[in-house]
Amino acid sequence: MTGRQATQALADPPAILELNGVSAHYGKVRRRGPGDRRPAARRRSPGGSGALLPALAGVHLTVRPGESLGIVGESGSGKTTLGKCVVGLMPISAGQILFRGQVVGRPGRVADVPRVNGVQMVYQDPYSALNPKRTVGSTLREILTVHKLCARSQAQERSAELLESVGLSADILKRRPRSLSGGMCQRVAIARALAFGPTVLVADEVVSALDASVQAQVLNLIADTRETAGLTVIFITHDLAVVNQVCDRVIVLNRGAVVESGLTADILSRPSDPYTRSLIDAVPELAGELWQR
Amino acid sequence: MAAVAASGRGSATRRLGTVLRRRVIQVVPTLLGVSLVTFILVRLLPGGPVQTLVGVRATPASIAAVSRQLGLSRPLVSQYFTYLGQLAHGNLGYSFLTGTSVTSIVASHLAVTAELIGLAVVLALIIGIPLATVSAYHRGAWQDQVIRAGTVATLGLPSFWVGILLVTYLGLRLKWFPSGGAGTGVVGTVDHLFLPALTLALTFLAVVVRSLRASISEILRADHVDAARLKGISRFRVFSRHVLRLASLPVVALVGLNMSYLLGTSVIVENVFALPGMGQQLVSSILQRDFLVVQGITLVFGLIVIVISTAVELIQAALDPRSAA
Amino acid sequence: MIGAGIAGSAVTPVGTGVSRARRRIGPNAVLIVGLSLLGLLLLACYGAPLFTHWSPAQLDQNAILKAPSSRHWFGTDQFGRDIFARTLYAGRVDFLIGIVLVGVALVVGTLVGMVSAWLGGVTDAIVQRLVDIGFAFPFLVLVISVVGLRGPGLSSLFIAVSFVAWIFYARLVRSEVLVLKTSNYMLAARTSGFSTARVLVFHLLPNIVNQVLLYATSDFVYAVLLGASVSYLGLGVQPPTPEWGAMVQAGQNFVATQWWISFFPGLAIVLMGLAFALIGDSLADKWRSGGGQQ
Repeated sequence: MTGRQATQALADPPAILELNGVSAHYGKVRRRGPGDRRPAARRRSPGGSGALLPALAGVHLTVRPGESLGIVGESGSGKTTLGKCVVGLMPISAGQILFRGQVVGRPGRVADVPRVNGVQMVYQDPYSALNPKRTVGSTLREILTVHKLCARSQAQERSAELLESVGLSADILKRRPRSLSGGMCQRVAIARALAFGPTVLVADEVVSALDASVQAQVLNLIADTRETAGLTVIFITHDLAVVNQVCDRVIVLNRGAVVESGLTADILSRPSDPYTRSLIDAVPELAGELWQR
Repeated sequence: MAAVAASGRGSATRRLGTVLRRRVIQVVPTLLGVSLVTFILVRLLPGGPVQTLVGVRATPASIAAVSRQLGLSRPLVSQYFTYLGQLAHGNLGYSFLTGTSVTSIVASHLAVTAELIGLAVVLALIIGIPLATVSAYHRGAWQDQVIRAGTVATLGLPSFWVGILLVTYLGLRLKWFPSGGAGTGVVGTVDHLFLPALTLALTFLAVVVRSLRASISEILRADHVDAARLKGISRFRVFSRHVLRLASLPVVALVGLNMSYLLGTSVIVENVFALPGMGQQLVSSILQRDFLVVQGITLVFGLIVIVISTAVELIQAALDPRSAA
Repeated sequence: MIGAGIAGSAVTPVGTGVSRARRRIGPNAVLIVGLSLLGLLLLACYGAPLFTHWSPAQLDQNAILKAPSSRHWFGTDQFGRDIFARTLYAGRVDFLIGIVLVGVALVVGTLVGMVSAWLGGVTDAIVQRLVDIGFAFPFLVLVISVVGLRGPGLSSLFIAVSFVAWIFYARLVRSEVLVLKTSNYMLAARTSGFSTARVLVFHLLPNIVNQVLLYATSDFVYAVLLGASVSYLGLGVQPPTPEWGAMVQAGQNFVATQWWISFFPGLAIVLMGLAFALIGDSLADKWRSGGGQQ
């Protein structure tokens, strides 16, 4: 059963996010010397024919409102690229991205997704996620006032509310990121994303840099928020244990292409692709657990 | 990048080739830019270059005549291409004052400037390496603090002031060295170059000591140096063999990166000591409004900086695989 | 700016000057010393009437080429002018030169560097090329060529420097921005739906300001050295305006016997350099150790 068929079989409410045959290429320009600007990191196909290897190759993806979707793969599988394309940080080279049925992403351009009530992202490294020169409060207030999400006089109050919703006290507002722990930074990052009132939250390896105990807290936090706010969450991760814990559906990426997709329970217990199998085997607890089923 | 890494043997040459090719491609637009800048420099004088030649009270007719004669009435673009063509043949124009070709003027003065800078670098290293080593060896101790305090104090050291002081005390009062001009033969040349070179070296010294201190610290802490010492090799031999060899790379980089500064300061120093180098020639040409000479010398300065920094990059690439990234 | 391209000058991130050693003394102590020295110099120069009753152009006919004494603290020159007064008043000119040269270069260079690095693409390529070309010339050479050809004087100096000095800041800012551009909070700023101007000014700029200011502290000294050197050559500040470099030149012929004419103005430059070096080093130390995680 292909990814397409799986999603179609389950689809009922209209998709909030769709990727149709989306491809993207590595186009990172790495500086090598003064004035030398040539794209590096262009992967050549193994045969040495000189053709460029894409970061994403013809990905089809449908995300339904309110669901919790996992995108897994090793590093280099294209999962982070997928996140970046969806959120509008990287241009796609082929295909289309649709948000609420409207085309927001076309080839050659960066996706133009709405920021308020739209798509927001939380990143992997908690320590660089927040502007070191701004207090937490100023970061949150700026979002609220620039986008007129609440009255200026109420921005402070609203910011405190946002912090409370992620389990942080209001006096964090006065602090700067460098005085916060990794877990706290990540919560603030989530609060920041939530300030936009997003419909879709992309969580790119958000717990990979955190301790195990803090991981669970942050994951639970996202799960709770998802329930209360009706958020759609896309988890990008290499860790199947995370997927097992929080995702309803999962999509497996290998070298930029979707190799498997379906309900988490199904995929994890009966992986049809050897690549998926190897990912499961890499997580001993998971493999053990599944053996017992 | 993965494409170049590959095997060890022969990769040094390949690396060099890649770096050379890349650098040459990069450098061509810069060279063109440099020639354009010097071209514009002179053409955009208030009143035009002709004005300075014929003087303030010239009639419009004579101005026009001279313009036509010098080819200055043609469109700028065609003038530029003529200029480029001349450059390609090594023709930098002629001095208005003496009629000699600018190229020969540059050639006759280049040696003095080169010697000045060369000797200055040598002196800076002779003084700087021991200082940096002492500083690195006794990291944090009073020797280190004193030396570093010294480097801090010399940030604002004016080259002309230092030069004048040196001339006064070592040249005039103590009569150890001559106070100006050029000398003949090796001994005479060094004799006349010593104070100017020392002046230049002193202004450069702080930078040398700081950078070398960092590099030497790093090297002293490196494992293989410890291993050598464990083998029982005397400290001095360890130093001279391993440390100096490894420190030569940063020294090359240091000189290369600061060549621009050295050339600029040499102009001042030459004027303080009346040394017949390019800097002194540049200033006197400026004062005498001999603009083609000014243009030519400025261009040559630019070329030297480019050539030296390219050479330094090549040497670095050849000696140190890590830096060719 | 003569040596603004000096690699390894006061602003290197690795073990600058006295910074690490001063951990015993503390960067704050060094900062205070530096600021005090600077304050003293500024006070002396701008508050010159408080310290001396002589004016820089005033001629004391009885005291030609007199050595330092209680009447003339720094001695007199060949015209009977008091060197102490001239040194103090010249400080105003030199400080002005420093501020203007650094100010213009900093503003223009930071702007260009930031925008060019952020936008990337063709804009960045062009700017990079311009910067490379600018760096190909020794800065002093370019400046005196332009000044000389345009006609000596302070305005020529300002114009000449303004055309080129921005490249130092542009290069510094550009490399900073290229690094910061990929950090997560800048990515977040990009996906926040803010205008590019807001992102650059309120998110990017605050994170590069420290580096720029740090560079500016040593650049100020280089700017004054440049102005003094150009004036020394006779191409900068014109007489009778007192200026440190010009004063050194004026005393050069007398230096064997009347050393004070050239000595004190030069010393003033050194002291100013010392003040800024102390300030710059202590700031570098503070910002490096305190800027990270605590």
